[in-house]
Amino acid sequence: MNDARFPVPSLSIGRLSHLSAAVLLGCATLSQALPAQSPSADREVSQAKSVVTTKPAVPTAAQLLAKATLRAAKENKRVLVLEGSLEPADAVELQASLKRDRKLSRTILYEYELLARATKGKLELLILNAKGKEVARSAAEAFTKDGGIAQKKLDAWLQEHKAKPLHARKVLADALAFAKEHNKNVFVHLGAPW
Amino acid sequence: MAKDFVDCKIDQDRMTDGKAVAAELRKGKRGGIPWSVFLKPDGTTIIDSDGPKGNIGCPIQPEEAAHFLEMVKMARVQLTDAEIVAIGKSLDDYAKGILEQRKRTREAASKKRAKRKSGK
Repeated sequence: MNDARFPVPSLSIGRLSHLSAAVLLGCATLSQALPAQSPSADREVSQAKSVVTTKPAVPTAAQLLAKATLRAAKENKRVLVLEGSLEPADAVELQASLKRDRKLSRTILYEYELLARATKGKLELLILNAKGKEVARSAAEAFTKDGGIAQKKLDAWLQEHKAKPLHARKVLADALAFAKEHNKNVFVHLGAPW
Repeated sequence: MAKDFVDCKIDQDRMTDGKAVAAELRKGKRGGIPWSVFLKPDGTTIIDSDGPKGNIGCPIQPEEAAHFLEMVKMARVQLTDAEIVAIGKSLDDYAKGILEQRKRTREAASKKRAKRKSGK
């Protein structure tokens, strides 16, 4: 077992995961997610130079993807990318369905990091593993039905390509073995994706 | 924390046998999540998040944070007192952020309600 197995605490949306991240890293990880300058620092700069610099930098597509794959790796999830023209009515409906439909939204919450990448061309759904490698790709129109979204078909496709679940006993056993090897104790937290 | 502890998240819903492992760790006691426990490398419990008033969950309130720090003190290997104070400060800052966020959410909801009421 190597150090990469337990590199940093998990950074899921679960509250305790955030807590452990904050405590374990002395808030370093969380502060990295903030804009480089605090609002008060921004005010000082704009007052001194009369230049308005209050807008935080918008992350690039590559940065967003990097963050999503990092989160996916820590949580054993995959990344679902909506790629293509996001403005046509069917694309808007698909995006809404992913959040509105109970089953789809649960699958997304549990198994995927969701990203939208506006490009030219028809909308496609792309599933990446935690290393950013393409696992599956499909035209969005494959999941439309009578002008709406074929939720069952889409959910089945997402379920088919989700990451294999980790075994809790093995995760715990690995942590205990790593702790023994490195003269540490284990901080176990029970949680769920919600 | 990383100096003394290996972080291990058990996802009850997504991991195979997640619920069974959770039940074993809790020794049959029921309760909500998040819940946490410090274990020795042989798997024996050092201390868990069940405080005097029950599971501290995410330790936001002062008494919850106090129990969490007690947990860290009991389970530490090499952490110094000064380092535990620093962990307490991190926890305090984190809690303040969460409480402020909750306050803003409450205020926004209250404004929304008032607006709706005045519109009627």
